Amino acid sequence: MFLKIPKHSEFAARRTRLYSAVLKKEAKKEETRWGRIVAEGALKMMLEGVSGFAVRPGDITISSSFSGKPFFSFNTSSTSGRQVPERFDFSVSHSDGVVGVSVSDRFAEGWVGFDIERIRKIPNEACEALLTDKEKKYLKRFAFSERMESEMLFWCIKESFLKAIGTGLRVHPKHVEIRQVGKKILISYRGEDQNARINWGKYNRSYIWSRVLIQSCLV
Amino acid sequence: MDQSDQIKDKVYKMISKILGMARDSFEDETPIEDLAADSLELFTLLIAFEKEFNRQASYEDLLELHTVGDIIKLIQRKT
Repeated sequence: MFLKIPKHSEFAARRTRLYSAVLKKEAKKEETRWGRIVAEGALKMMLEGVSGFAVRPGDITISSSFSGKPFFSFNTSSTSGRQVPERFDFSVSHSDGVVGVSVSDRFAEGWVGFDIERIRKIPNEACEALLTDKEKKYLKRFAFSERMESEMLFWCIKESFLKAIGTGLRVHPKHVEIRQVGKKILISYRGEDQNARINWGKYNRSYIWSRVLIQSCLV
Repeated sequence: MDQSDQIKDKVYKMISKILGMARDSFEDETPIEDLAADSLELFTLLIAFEKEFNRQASYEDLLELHTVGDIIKLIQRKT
């Protein structure tokens, strides 16, 4: 059973859909496959909104590039020659019973990366590996529970950024550095500041999500 | 137990511990996506493998992996 999470305006405004999967323990392995189904459903809704006509099951085929970045194509024979814009990019993430998909208009907004994670302590060794020295120094100022959430947020943003540029974990997360300046979050990649739009938030007090939009996709 | 079996045993233990899965719930042929790990869990597993076997895999190596057995073979090759 896959339940759509009640509409949150912050998600709707960002063309992001979250679905809560009520999965029995033995079905948890299906969570990844459900992500694909959810992505198809969300794309269908987005494309119908833009194109103005019904998108049927089977009209969309989701594939992965050689780097693992998902993309979709339209089965034009099923649309009877109607011009359907294929300018959308999308990103899927799942964590412990929640699957999310975010869609962007590549021309208007750029490439999208989305990540959602259940909030929990990142193991020390993984933290040590993924955070830069500046990030570690910055995060030391927080008390434990705040630091736990901030570390998870940093992970989410790095993962979202790497998904948006199309490399995913093919690039080590340490090449992405996050800085927080007041309420603004800035990203640099391999030492260069990036013109990225970042949104983030918490869902249900148990999950952190982030969405990154960037103009250039590397792959 | 020869070295190959030791590596396999260690990999199984680490997957079980880090992903919270029972040992008998996966096998060599299990697709990695069936481990239902989120991205952070996969990264944590990668770091644990690097520390345990004192080897670094390129991230391209990792994206060629499709099953648990592929992980074991990669570590055996690099060790």
